[in-house]
Amino acid sequence: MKVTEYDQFNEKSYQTKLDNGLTVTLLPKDGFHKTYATLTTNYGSIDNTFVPAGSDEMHRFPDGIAHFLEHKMFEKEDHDAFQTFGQYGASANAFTSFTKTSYLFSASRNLRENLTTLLDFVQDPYFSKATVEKEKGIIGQEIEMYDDDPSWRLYFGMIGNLYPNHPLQYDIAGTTESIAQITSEDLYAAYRTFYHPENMTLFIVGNLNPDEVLTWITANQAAKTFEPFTPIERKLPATVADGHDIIPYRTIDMPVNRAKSIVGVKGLVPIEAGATALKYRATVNVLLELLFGDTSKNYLHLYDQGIIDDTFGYDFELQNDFNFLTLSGETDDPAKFDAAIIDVLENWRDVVNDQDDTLALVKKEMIGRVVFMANSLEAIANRYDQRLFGAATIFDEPAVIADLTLADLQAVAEQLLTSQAISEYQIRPQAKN
Amino acid sequence: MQTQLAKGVQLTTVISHQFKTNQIIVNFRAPLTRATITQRSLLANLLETSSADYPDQRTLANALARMYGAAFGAGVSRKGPTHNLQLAITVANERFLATDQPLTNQAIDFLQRVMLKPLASAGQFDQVTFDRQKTNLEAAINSVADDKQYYASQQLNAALFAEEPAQQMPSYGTIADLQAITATGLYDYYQTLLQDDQIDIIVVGDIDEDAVLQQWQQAHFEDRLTGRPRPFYQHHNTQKYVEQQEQQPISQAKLNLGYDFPVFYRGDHYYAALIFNELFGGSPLSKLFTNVREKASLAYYASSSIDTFRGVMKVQAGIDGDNHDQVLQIIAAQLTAIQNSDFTDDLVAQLKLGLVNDFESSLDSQRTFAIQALINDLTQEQVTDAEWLARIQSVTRDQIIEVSKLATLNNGFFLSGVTE
Repeated sequence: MKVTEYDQFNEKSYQTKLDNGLTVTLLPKDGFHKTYATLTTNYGSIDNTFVPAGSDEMHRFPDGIAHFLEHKMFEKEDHDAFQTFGQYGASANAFTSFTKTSYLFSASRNLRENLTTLLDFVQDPYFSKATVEKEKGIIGQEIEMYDDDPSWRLYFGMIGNLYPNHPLQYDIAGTTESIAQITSEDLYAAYRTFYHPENMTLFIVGNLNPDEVLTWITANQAAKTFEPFTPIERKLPATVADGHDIIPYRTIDMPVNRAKSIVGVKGLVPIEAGATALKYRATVNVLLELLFGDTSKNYLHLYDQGIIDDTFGYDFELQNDFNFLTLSGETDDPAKFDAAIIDVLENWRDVVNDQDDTLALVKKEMIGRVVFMANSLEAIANRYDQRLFGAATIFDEPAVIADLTLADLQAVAEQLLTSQAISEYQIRPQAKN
Repeated sequence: MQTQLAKGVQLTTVISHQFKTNQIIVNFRAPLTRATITQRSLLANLLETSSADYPDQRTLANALARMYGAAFGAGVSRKGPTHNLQLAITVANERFLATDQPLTNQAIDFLQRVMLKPLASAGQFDQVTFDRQKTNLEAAINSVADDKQYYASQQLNAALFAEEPAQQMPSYGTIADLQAITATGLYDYYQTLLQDDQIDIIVVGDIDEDAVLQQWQQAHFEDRLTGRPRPFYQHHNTQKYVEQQEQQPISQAKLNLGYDFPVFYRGDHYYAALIFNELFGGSPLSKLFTNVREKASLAYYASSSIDTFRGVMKVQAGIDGDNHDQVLQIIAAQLTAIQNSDFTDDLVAQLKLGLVNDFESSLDSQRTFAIQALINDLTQEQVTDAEWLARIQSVTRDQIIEVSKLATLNNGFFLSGVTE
């Protein structure tokens, strides 16, 4: 195992790649009672067109299939994985994002049994026509629940603006119509393609002994056979370099009391995985803090004018194939909100210059926040992303933040904050009759 | 370590080396009354964004950033018949940063300034800041209803506590009450609060207890002349089911049910009730999850929760509006099944293990210490970890059946889509 020591934080990570291709990372936390483990495949909602393992033709699968597969992994011929975790007292769950599906548990006891359960249920698929049909009612309700959620609609409305020709625009769970088409054969095809250990990572953090845990995992994996791994061929549309496909503005009505608005900026340049990506994300986060954080002049100015309030927030999403940033909030006047936010974005040079020492302060703040995250097993595990950042953990981030310069920020702002990449989406209160 | 700084003012310090941050929490606790809920909510917003030494958010945010991004917040909550206004600050332990800044000392100093020196002069809060926060709170209360599940649960709460206006209200207040509040009136109320509220201060982390104590002694709190608020409110059992219905243009219907369930925190039946709730709808192994979701495929979520400070249980499910009767029937059948002893001992053993796991896992959150210290003070009782575990383990099947019979369905709120 490769050991990385983070002396400043008194933390250590252990990493190895098993013979079958599975990447394992272990991060013991002294004094903690529970252990949190995530088994993740690089397969998410955007991967709906790919060459299935054993075939040589590109095939388009129904939207929502990765998420559907996630639900169905738990159900076996004669039991449910939730029940097995229940026998060992673990709390289990799973989630699907744009690019990943993760299965997880947290438990204060029976670590070996729970770990075995996690590996075994994810590596032993069982799908049947009857169980697939039954799930459609449950996921149908999940989709309807999100349909009524204004924040979700706002976010996906913006993604639809930025990516009108990309599978990102589809809801992670798909639609009632798309999931109706999913068959157990589809699920097996997706499973065989993406659930090979070579395409997966296991991250365990908390109460654990690294040597002992690795022995268990190795024995469990050695007892299973896998087909040789064939590199995955996904089909994703390329980013349109000048952003001319972006829909600049849309609005919808919903039964809400207060309007909600979101401004999005699409990254038009793909970011290289690894150290570059880690630095890029840190740079954008510092940039956003300078432009819109509560330590900024802009924030106070917009707040005092009533343009933004405590609901204002922003987020930068960086993945292997795309990146975009969003700024959103509730507002009485969406047009005014959008105009004010766009004004700050387009005039970033007024803020990102060498006139003051705010950069040093923001860096200090963000480094401190990494220390906060060290308390949370979930934060440590969920921030890990092998495909995007390699072996890096959150404890690698402070050094990256500390090294950032004004020139780094300027270069990223120059590239990211371009007018043709900006879009607006608004939810307005539906007239009551 | 526990110290009484004055009558009704407690300081609890907890040394823990598990976390890389230190946390300081101040709770102001008072009896829940309709007249003060909204004022306290507005106070939380004012204290979170301004004080005499940090007159606007930027100054305040900069002060926090200088403490390596200390996290500061104010909030309100209800626990039975008490209302709690909380100020909390979390700060990194400087050992993990290349600095000799005494961060915990600075954080306590910051909190004391915010608490004791509000942005006010001539007997009133700064008018501009007050007006801004009043406007923002009104907008926030207004948009709460945009979360339909939350809205439905609020409506159920209002129906369930029809006999007591203060229990009906959300802990963040109402727009009607907000409109009457003035910068002068609120300042007067804050002075009363500082004098009369029970105050619990909790400091958790790798701390120097004596230094912390000394720092808090310098705040010179005065004795409270008020008594301790009661810890529990007892819901009134109507003995009959009444359902309110409302339609809105939404996709998914929300069915919310409220039960009278006279079980109180650490009282008779309490540990059995925890297991009963897990069995009925509190876990993925529960009757509701298994039958409403997994078997009948009628919902993505169908769950139960108990409030042992008010003696009620609630059920919520997101369903297709047309399935209302069927879901209601399945939910009722699950409760009857438990009352008729229709569950396995294996399942009970698993649910116990699940509760033990939740309990032990909660010890990994710094916040748990503050929550527990507050409840201990509220109920004037302490239970060790070992005792808690032993009591869960000792719950019998008969006790679960017995406690399940205490649940009486009283109210329902059904929010459904508009049928066209």
